Amino acid sequence: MAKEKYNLAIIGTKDQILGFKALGMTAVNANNADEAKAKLFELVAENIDLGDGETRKKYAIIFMLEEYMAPLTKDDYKKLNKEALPAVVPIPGVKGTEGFGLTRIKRMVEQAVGSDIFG
Amino acid sequence: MAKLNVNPTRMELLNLKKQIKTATRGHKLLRDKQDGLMQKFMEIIREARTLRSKVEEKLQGAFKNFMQASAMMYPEVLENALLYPSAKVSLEVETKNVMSVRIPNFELKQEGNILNYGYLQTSGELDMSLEAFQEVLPLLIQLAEIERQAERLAEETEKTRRRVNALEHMLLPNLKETVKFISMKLEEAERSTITGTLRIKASMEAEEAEAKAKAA
Repeated sequence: MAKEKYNLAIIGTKDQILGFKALGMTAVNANNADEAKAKLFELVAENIDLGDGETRKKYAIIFMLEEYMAPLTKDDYKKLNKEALPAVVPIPGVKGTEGFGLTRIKRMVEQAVGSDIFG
Repeated sequence: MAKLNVNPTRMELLNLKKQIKTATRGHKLLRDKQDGLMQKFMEIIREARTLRSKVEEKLQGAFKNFMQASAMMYPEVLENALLYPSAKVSLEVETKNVMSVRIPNFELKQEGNILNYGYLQTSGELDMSLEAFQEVLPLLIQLAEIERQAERLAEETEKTRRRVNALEHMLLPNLKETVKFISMKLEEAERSTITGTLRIKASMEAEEAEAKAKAA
């Protein structure tokens, strides 16, 4: 299979995503968690037509501000986790991290092992 | 443990024994898979934890720079400057197969210059902050890759764990109990036939003896 080019996207408030936009990412503006969630699923669902009825995901990674990522429910995660792509990654905003990224990793450990072994 | 609802026949017994064999084999295989997954998961999750802390720290620095830069410029100017970026990022994605979980590997491709604006109205801080962002980007990609891998592995590990437990604590004991039940039933039936025949034989012999006595 030939290597395909995938895009990157970021969801967040305007002032925080501008820097990433300059790097060439698709920047999507969202002002609150609900809006961010809606936009996220829109981006996840975006496909590129390869012809012959084949499609692939347009975005490989979607970055999202952690304050918008935190309210996502378990069901949302399940939906996001169905396919290998895209990867949705929380990033801390201007205010700095509130530890959501590490909490998320902790949750993964709990899911896999059954209890948090790192404490 | 509840026994299964089956007829206590020899046929069923054979079927169940076959099922136990398959289930035991499946259980062993799944447990091996679980061990493999767990090992890989631990490896990845350790990396993810350190990498995340590192990325968050660096990113915060970049954000701080950017905030300072944007504070020194008119918002309109800033927005105009960054409106049409000539830089392009894209990813090449390869999927790897680890224990039948497909996990992605990302490779970053960058094109163009990020400093794509007039220097007149923009500040030097903006250049610096964008460079800082660009420095963080490869790390961010790496983080995305590793966290995604961890996520997928976590899910698969959980699934496998459930399956192993279901086999170990539900299916296998049930099957074993049912096999025991059927073989006991069959033995019971066997004994019952034997005693039955013995009794018939005894009564027949008694009748014969009686007939002989009468004839004599």
